[in-house]
Amino acid sequence: MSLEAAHPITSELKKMASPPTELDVGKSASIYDSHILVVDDSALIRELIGACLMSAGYTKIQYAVDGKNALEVIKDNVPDLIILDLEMPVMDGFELCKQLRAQPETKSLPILIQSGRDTAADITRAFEYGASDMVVKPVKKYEILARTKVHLENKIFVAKLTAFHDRVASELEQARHLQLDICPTPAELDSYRDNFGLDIGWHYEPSSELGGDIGGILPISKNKIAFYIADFSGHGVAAALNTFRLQTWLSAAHHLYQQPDTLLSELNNFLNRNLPSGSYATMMFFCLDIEKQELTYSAAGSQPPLMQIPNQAQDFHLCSSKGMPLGLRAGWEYSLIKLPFKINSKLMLYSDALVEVCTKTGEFLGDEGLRDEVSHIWQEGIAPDAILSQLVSRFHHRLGTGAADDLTIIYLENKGHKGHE
Amino acid sequence: MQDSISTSNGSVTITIADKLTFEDHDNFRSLLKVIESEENNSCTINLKDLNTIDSAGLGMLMIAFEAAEKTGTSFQIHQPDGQVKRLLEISEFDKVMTIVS
Repeated sequence: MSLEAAHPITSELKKMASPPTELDVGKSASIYDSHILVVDDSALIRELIGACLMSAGYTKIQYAVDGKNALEVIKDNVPDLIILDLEMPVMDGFELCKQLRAQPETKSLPILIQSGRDTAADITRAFEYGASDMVVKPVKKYEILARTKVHLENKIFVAKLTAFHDRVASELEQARHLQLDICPTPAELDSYRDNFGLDIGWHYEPSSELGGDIGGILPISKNKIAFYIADFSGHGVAAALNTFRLQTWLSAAHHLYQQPDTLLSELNNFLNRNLPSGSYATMMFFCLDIEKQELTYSAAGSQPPLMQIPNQAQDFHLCSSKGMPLGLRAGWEYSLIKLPFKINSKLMLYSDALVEVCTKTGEFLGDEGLRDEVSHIWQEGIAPDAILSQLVSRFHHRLGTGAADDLTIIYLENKGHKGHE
Repeated sequence: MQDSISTSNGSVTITIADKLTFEDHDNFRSLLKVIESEENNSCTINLKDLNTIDSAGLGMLMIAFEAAEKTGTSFQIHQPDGQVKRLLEISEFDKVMTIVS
């Protein structure tokens, strides 16, 4: 229903077409570049609203005479805001709202209803069909301009926020790929089997986009290979950047790969100088001598690794991982541990996330719990990949929807190197 | 984090209960001021009711120790249990500070 008959349109039009005042033209000029579609079957109301918008500085105004006509206009050019009458022939405002909300490109388009229908039932229905806001006829210039401004500014703010969010998400995704690139590839793992007789499995999953866990394998010579696992305190971007810092430091410390204790001492001093107070990394660094079948390692407060020595015991046992986390105390000295690593010996390294999940009894799985579980499932004849999958699947089952920390699991088995069997 | 502070004759006892995690950074900062206070010459952190500690929490304990170290205040950790005790042991904190079971 059109209500123009009730108003002195001519004088109103004159008033509305008056030059923009300071109130009309706000500081956020960009909203005045917005496309506005005015939908009303009354030519006079369309003209009245159009004049009102133009007086405020809006220039990109389009018109439609009913819902069907509006859909045609929107098909060619989706506006930034629709000012919509409810009662119109052919297709009314309710139906238009409903159709626009069903289409992805207009799902969140602001729709400002202007109508003479102001009963509670009408207003409820309009909002149920997807209206963003409502003003009641007769059209009041400052009301319609104020509402228009609010919705356009809101749309611009949301668009800016969405663009910012998308950019950050995309940058984090790229960073995540960089971090995943640090992990050994399946081809690299195959080459360690061929060249060093080591069966190696690797599982890494960061808790959010980025993580503070890192691990790596560093071949030293024909008969020696080093590997490590580390976890920076905290997670997210800062922890992830520290993993790259560690990797850079390690790549320049090749001469220390055969002396894990000296390596950790020097790395500890480096991190102590560079990390903020209270931040640290736990780490274990191993050097494996294939010829001697001997493992030499030093630890800085990591999770105790699990080891199984063939012909001694069927079960896995926990090895020592005691040591001051790196970065906390300058000048710290780390002890060197030597263990035999004969053919068929198995070693599993893992980050704390794996054991800090609750079991059925409501208690943390813990190192001992993991040891018992691994001893139980790591039976001869089962491929290590399958065992790793089982551990990961149990971890996710226990975690449920809870927030996870970064998870790293690395296993190694000495399958015997050609010439050393 | 739940904490309580009691002071007597230059000795301060801070009891930290429940959890000590990344979210407790701000609260912990106010505890540091107590440790750094020149009125105290001895500080005890009682952890008997602390159930969970994460990597950030462990870092905070080291910061607290260093704050005491700087002002020459004696520093002790009392009655850590369960996961907290385990983490302190793995991290060899007992080689730096006094930990009383």
